[in-house]
Amino acid sequence: MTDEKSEATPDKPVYRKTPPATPAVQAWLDGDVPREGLATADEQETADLWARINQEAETLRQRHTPIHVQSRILSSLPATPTVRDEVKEEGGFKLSTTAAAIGGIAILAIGALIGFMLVN
Amino acid sequence: MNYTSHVTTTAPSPAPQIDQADADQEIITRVLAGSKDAFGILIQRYSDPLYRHALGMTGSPDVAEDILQASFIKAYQHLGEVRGRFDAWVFRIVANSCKDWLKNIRRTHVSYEEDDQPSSFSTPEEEMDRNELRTDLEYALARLPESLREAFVMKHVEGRSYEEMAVLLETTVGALKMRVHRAREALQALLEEKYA
Repeated sequence: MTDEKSEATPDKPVYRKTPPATPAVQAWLDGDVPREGLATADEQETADLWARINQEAETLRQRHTPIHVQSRILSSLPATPTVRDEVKEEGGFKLSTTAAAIGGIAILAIGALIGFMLVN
Repeated sequence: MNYTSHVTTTAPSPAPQIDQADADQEIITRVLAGSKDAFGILIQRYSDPLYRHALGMTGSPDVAEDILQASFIKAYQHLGEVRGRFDAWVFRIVANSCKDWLKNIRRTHVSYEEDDQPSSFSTPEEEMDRNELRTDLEYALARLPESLREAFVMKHVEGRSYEEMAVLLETTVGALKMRVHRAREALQALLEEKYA
Protein backbone atom coordinates (compact mmCIF):
# COMPACT_ATOMS: atom_id res chain seq x y z
CA MET A 1 0.00 0.00 0.00
CA THR A 2 1.37 3.38 -0.93
CA ASP A 3 1.38 6.37 1.35
CA GLU A 4 2.92 9.40 -0.26
CA LYS A 5 3.60 11.06 3.08
CA SER A 6 5.68 8.14 4.24
CA GLU A 7 7.98 8.07 1.26
CA ALA A 8 11.60 8.92 1.84
CA THR A 9 12.83 12.24 0.54
CA PRO A 10 16.31 11.56 -0.81
CA ASP A 11 19.04 14.13 -0.34
CA LYS A 12 16.75 16.86 0.97
CA PRO A 13 18.30 18.88 3.78
CA VAL A 14 16.57 18.47 7.13
CA TYR A 15 15.95 21.50 9.29
CA ARG A 16 15.54 21.34 13.03
CA LYS A 17 15.64 23.43 16.17
CA THR A 18 18.45 21.79 18.12
CA PRO A 19 22.12 21.67 17.12
CA PRO A 20 23.19 18.70 14.96
CA ALA A 21 25.67 16.06 16.03
CA THR A 22 28.98 17.85 16.09
CA PRO A 23 32.07 16.53 14.31
CA ALA A 24 33.29 15.43 17.74
CA VAL A 25 30.16 13.32 18.28
CA GLN A 26 30.45 11.86 14.79
CA ALA A 27 34.09 11.02 15.46
CA TRP A 28 33.10 9.34 18.70
CA LEU A 29 30.40 7.34 16.93
CA ASP A 30 32.96 6.35 14.30
CA GLY A 31 35.23 5.10 17.07
CA ASP A 32 37.92 7.64 16.31
CA VAL A 33 37.87 9.36 19.71
CA PRO A 34 36.77 8.32 23.22
CA ARG A 35 33.62 9.72 24.76
CA GLU A 36 35.77 11.72 27.16
CA GLY A 37 36.69 13.83 24.14
CA LEU A 38 33.18 15.30 24.05
CA ALA A 39 33.54 18.63 25.77
CA THR A 40 30.16 20.33 25.87
CA ALA A 41 26.94 19.46 27.64
CA ASP A 42 25.14 19.37 24.28
CA GLU A 43 27.61 16.81 23.01
CA GLN A 44 27.18 14.68 26.11
CA GLU A 45 23.41 14.86 25.73
CA THR A 46 23.65 13.78 22.11
CA ALA A 47 26.01 10.99 23.11
CA ASP A 48 23.47 9.73 25.64
CA LEU A 49 20.85 9.48 22.92
CA TRP A 50 23.23 7.64 20.64
CA ALA A 51 24.26 5.29 23.39
CA ARG A 52 20.64 4.17 23.60
CA ILE A 53 20.32 3.88 19.83
CA ASN A 54 23.54 1.89 19.63
CA GLN A 55 22.33 -0.41 22.38
CA GLU A 56 19.29 -1.18 20.27
CA ALA A 57 21.40 -1.59 17.14
CA GLU A 58 23.60 -4.01 19.05
CA THR A 59 20.52 -6.12 19.78
CA LEU A 60 19.66 -6.22 16.10
CA ARG A 61 23.24 -7.24 15.36
CA GLN A 62 22.74 -10.43 17.36
CA ARG A 63 20.03 -11.67 15.00
CA HIS A 64 20.62 -14.93 13.21
CA THR A 65 19.01 -16.46 10.19
CA PRO A 66 16.10 -18.63 11.35
CA ILE A 67 17.19 -22.27 11.31
CA HIS A 68 14.60 -23.41 8.81
CA VAL A 69 15.66 -20.85 6.20
CA GLN A 70 19.01 -22.39 5.32
CA SER A 71 17.51 -25.81 4.69
CA ARG A 72 14.66 -24.20 2.75
CA ILE A 73 17.15 -22.46 0.48
CA LEU A 74 19.15 -25.65 -0.08
CA SER A 75 16.07 -27.66 -0.94
CA SER A 76 14.85 -25.04 -3.40
CA LEU A 77 18.07 -24.82 -5.41
CA PRO A 78 17.69 -25.80 -9.07
CA ALA A 79 19.48 -28.85 -10.39
CA THR A 80 22.27 -27.02 -12.16
CA PRO A 81 24.25 -23.98 -11.07
CA THR A 82 24.24 -22.04 -14.30
CA VAL A 83 21.31 -20.49 -16.10
CA ARG A 84 23.01 -20.35 -19.46
CA ASP A 85 23.26 -24.11 -19.76
CA GLU A 86 19.58 -24.45 -18.91
CA VAL A 87 18.64 -21.93 -21.56
CA LYS A 88 20.64 -23.83 -24.11
CA GLU A 89 18.91 -27.06 -23.18
CA GLU A 90 15.46 -25.56 -23.10
CA GLY A 91 15.82 -23.50 -26.23
CA GLY A 92 17.95 -25.94 -28.20
CA PHE A 93 16.79 -28.12 -31.13
CA LYS A 94 15.13 -31.31 -29.95
CA LEU A 95 14.72 -34.30 -32.33
CA SER A 96 12.31 -37.08 -31.51
CA THR A 97 12.71 -40.64 -32.88
CA THR A 98 9.68 -40.26 -35.15
CA ALA A 99 10.91 -36.97 -36.54
CA ALA A 100 14.34 -38.52 -37.16
CA ALA A 101 12.78 -41.45 -39.05
CA ILE A 102 10.62 -39.15 -41.18
CA GLY A 103 13.63 -36.94 -41.88
CA GLY A 104 15.72 -39.94 -42.89
CA ILE A 105 13.03 -41.22 -45.26
CA ALA A 106 12.66 -37.76 -46.78
CA ILE A 107 16.41 -37.50 -47.39
CA LEU A 108 16.43 -40.94 -49.03
CA ALA A 109 13.46 -39.99 -51.22
CA ILE A 110 15.14 -36.76 -52.31
CA GLY A 111 18.34 -38.67 -53.04
CA ALA A 112 16.46 -41.23 -55.09
CA LEU A 113 14.67 -38.48 -56.97
CA ILE A 114 17.92 -36.69 -57.77
CA GLY A 115 19.51 -40.00 -58.84
CA PHE A 116 16.53 -40.79 -61.07
CA MET A 117 16.76 -37.32 -62.69
CA LEU A 118 20.48 -37.67 -63.28
CA VAL A 119 20.07 -41.08 -64.91
CA ASN A 120 17.34 -39.86 -67.21
CA MET B 1 19.65 25.40 9.98
CA ASN B 2 20.99 23.14 7.33
CA TYR B 3 22.86 20.44 9.19
CA THR B 4 24.45 18.58 6.30
CA SER B 5 27.76 17.10 7.37
CA HIS B 6 30.97 17.68 5.50
CA VAL B 7 33.23 14.97 6.79
CA THR B 8 36.25 13.54 5.05
CA THR B 9 38.37 10.69 6.23
CA THR B 10 41.78 9.16 5.83
CA ALA B 11 41.04 5.73 7.19
CA PRO B 12 43.58 2.92 6.72
CA SER B 13 43.19 0.31 4.01
CA PRO B 14 41.25 -2.85 4.87
CA ALA B 15 43.07 -6.05 5.63
CA PRO B 16 42.84 -8.41 2.63
CA GLN B 17 40.62 -11.44 3.06
CA ILE B 18 42.59 -13.62 0.72
CA ASP B 19 42.24 -16.82 2.73
CA GLN B 20 38.47 -16.54 2.91
CA ALA B 21 38.22 -15.67 -0.77
CA ASP B 22 40.38 -18.66 -1.69
CA ALA B 23 38.27 -20.94 0.48
CA ASP B 24 35.12 -19.63 -1.17
CA GLN B 25 36.62 -20.15 -4.61
CA GLU B 26 37.39 -23.78 -3.78
CA ILE B 27 33.79 -24.33 -2.78
CA ILE B 28 32.56 -22.63 -5.94
CA THR B 29 34.74 -24.94 -8.00
CA ARG B 30 33.21 -27.95 -6.24
CA VAL B 31 29.68 -26.68 -6.81
CA LEU B 32 30.33 -26.03 -10.47
CA ALA B 33 31.75 -29.55 -10.74
CA GLY B 34 28.40 -30.90 -9.59
CA SER B 35 28.52 -30.87 -5.79
CA LYS B 36 25.28 -29.11 -5.04
CA ASP B 37 25.62 -29.74 -1.30
CA ALA B 38 28.84 -27.74 -1.19
CA PHE B 39 26.78 -24.64 -1.82
CA GLY B 40 25.33 -25.19 1.64
CA ILE B 41 28.70 -24.21 3.11
CA LEU B 42 28.44 -20.82 1.44
CA ILE B 43 24.87 -20.42 2.66
CA GLN B 44 25.90 -21.27 6.20
CA ARG B 45 28.90 -18.97 6.02
CA TYR B 46 27.13 -15.86 4.77
CA SER B 47 23.44 -16.15 5.57
CA ASP B 48 23.60 -14.36 8.94
CA PRO B 49 25.17 -11.07 7.80
CA LEU B 50 23.04 -11.08 4.66
CA TYR B 51 19.89 -11.79 6.67
CA ARG B 52 20.71 -8.94 9.04
CA HIS B 53 21.19 -6.61 6.10
CA ALA B 54 17.87 -7.58 4.54
CA LEU B 55 16.15 -7.33 7.92
CA GLY B 56 17.63 -3.92 8.60
CA MET B 57 16.68 -2.65 5.17
CA THR B 58 13.15 -4.04 5.01
CA GLY B 59 12.18 -4.28 8.67
CA SER B 60 10.32 -7.50 8.03
CA PRO B 61 11.66 -10.97 8.96
CA ASP B 62 9.43 -12.62 6.38
CA VAL B 63 10.60 -10.34 3.60
CA ALA B 64 14.21 -10.74 4.72
CA GLU B 65 13.87 -14.53 4.51
CA ASP B 66 12.35 -14.34 1.05
CA ILE B 67 15.04 -11.98 -0.20
CA LEU B 68 17.74 -14.21 1.27
CA GLN B 69 16.30 -17.30 -0.40
CA ALA B 70 15.84 -15.64 -3.78
CA SER B 71 19.32 -14.13 -3.63
CA PHE B 72 21.05 -17.42 -2.86
CA ILE B 73 19.14 -19.15 -5.64
CA LYS B 74 20.18 -16.41 -8.04
CA ALA B 75 23.76 -16.69 -6.81
CA TYR B 76 23.69 -20.45 -7.35
CA GLN B 77 22.28 -20.10 -10.84
CA HIS B 78 24.95 -17.57 -11.82
CA LEU B 79 27.81 -19.06 -9.83
CA GLY B 80 29.93 -19.47 -12.92
CA GLU B 81 29.93 -15.71 -13.37
CA VAL B 82 31.54 -14.87 -10.02
CA ARG B 83 34.54 -12.60 -10.44
CA GLY B 84 36.41 -11.56 -7.32
CA ARG B 85 35.11 -12.10 -3.81
CA PHE B 86 32.00 -14.24 -3.49
CA ASP B 87 30.85 -12.49 -0.30
CA ALA B 88 30.93 -9.08 -1.97
CA TRP B 89 29.19 -10.46 -5.05
CA VAL B 90 26.35 -12.13 -3.15
CA PHE B 91 26.04 -9.09 -0.88
CA ARG B 92 25.33 -6.93 -3.92
CA ILE B 93 22.63 -9.35 -5.02
CA VAL B 94 20.95 -9.06 -1.62
CA ALA B 95 21.45 -5.29 -1.43
CA ASN B 96 19.93 -4.78 -4.88
CA SER B 97 17.01 -7.05 -3.99
CA CYS B 98 16.37 -4.96 -0.90
CA LYS B 99 16.42 -1.77 -2.93
CA ASP B 100 14.07 -3.27 -5.50
CA TRP B 101 11.71 -4.28 -2.71
CA LEU B 102 11.83 -0.80 -1.20
CA LYS B 103 11.07 0.74 -4.56
CA ASN B 104 8.05 -1.48 -5.02
CA ILE B 105 6.70 -1.51 -1.50
CA ARG B 106 6.22 1.74 0.35
CA ARG B 107 5.25 1.19 3.92
CA THR B 108 4.29 3.58 6.66
CA HIS B 109 5.59 1.39 9.42
CA VAL B 110 8.02 -1.49 9.62
CA SER B 111 7.89 -4.06 12.35
CA TYR B 112 9.88 -6.89 13.81
CA GLU B 113 6.83 -8.14 15.69
CA GLU B 114 6.62 -11.29 13.62
CA ASP B 115 10.13 -12.18 14.66
CA ASP B 116 10.43 -15.10 17.04
CA GLN B 117 13.90 -14.27 18.34
CA PRO B 118 14.05 -14.64 22.14
CA SER B 119 13.94 -11.54 24.31
CA SER B 120 17.04 -10.63 26.30
CA PHE B 121 15.57 -7.85 28.41
CA SER B 122 16.03 -8.12 32.16
CA THR B 123 12.70 -6.61 33.26
CA PRO B 124 9.29 -6.03 31.68
CA GLU B 125 9.81 -2.27 32.08
CA GLU B 126 13.10 -2.41 30.26
CA GLU B 127 11.55 -4.54 27.54
CA MET B 128 8.75 -2.01 27.14
CA ASP B 129 11.18 0.91 26.90
CA ARG B 130 13.42 -0.91 24.48
CA ASN B 131 10.52 -2.06 22.35
CA GLU B 132 9.32 1.53 22.11
CA LEU B 133 12.76 2.76 21.11
CA ARG B 134 13.09 -0.08 18.63
CA THR B 135 9.75 0.72 17.06
CA ASP B 136 10.65 4.40 16.82
CA LEU B 137 14.07 3.57 15.41
CA GLU B 138 12.53 1.31 12.77
CA TYR B 139 10.04 4.00 11.89
CA ALA B 140 12.80 6.59 11.61
CA LEU B 141 14.96 4.23 9.54
CA ALA B 142 12.07 3.64 7.16
CA ARG B 143 11.88 7.38 6.53
CA LEU B 144 15.51 7.63 5.43
CA PRO B 145 16.50 7.66 1.77
CA GLU B 146 17.68 4.20 0.66
CA SER B 147 21.34 5.13 0.38
CA LEU B 148 21.43 6.61 3.88
CA ARG B 149 19.48 3.73 5.38
CA GLU B 150 21.81 1.24 3.72
CA ALA B 151 24.89 3.00 5.05
CA PHE B 152 23.46 3.32 8.57
CA VAL B 153 22.34 -0.31 8.72
CA MET B 154 25.71 -1.56 7.53
CA LYS B 155 27.59 0.59 10.02
CA HIS B 156 25.44 0.47 13.14
CA VAL B 157 23.35 -2.68 12.82
CA GLU B 158 25.76 -4.95 10.96
CA GLY B 159 28.80 -3.42 12.66
CA ARG B 160 30.90 -3.26 9.51
CA SER B 161 33.95 -1.06 9.15
CA TYR B 162 33.94 1.75 6.62
CA GLU B 163 36.64 -0.09 4.69
CA GLU B 164 34.53 -3.23 4.43
CA MET B 165 31.51 -1.19 3.42
CA ALA B 166 33.56 0.50 0.70
CA VAL B 167 34.49 -2.87 -0.77
CA LEU B 168 30.94 -4.19 -0.66
CA LEU B 169 29.31 -1.07 -2.07
CA GLU B 170 32.14 -0.27 -4.48
CA THR B 171 32.55 3.30 -3.32
CA THR B 172 34.94 5.34 -1.20
CA VAL B 173 35.31 5.47 2.56
CA GLY B 174 34.81 9.22 2.47
CA ALA B 175 31.52 8.95 0.61
CA LEU B 176 30.28 6.34 3.05
CA LYS B 177 31.27 8.40 6.09
CA MET B 178 29.28 11.24 4.61
CA ARG B 179 26.24 9.00 4.16
CA VAL B 180 26.47 7.57 7.68
CA HIS B 181 26.89 11.01 9.20
CA ARG B 182 23.89 12.33 7.32
CA ALA B 183 21.86 9.28 8.30
CA ARG B 184 22.75 9.84 11.97
CA GLU B 185 21.75 13.46 11.78
CA ALA B 186 18.46 12.63 10.11
CA LEU B 187 17.71 9.88 12.64
CA GLN B 188 18.68 12.14 15.51
CA ALA B 189 16.35 14.81 14.23
CA LEU B 190 13.54 12.26 14.11
CA LEU B 191 14.23 10.72 17.51
CA GLU B 192 15.60 13.45 19.73
CA GLU B 193 12.28 15.18 20.40
CA LYS B 194 11.14 12.08 22.22
CA TYR B 195 14.36 10.68 23.60
CA ALA B 196 16.86 13.51 24.01
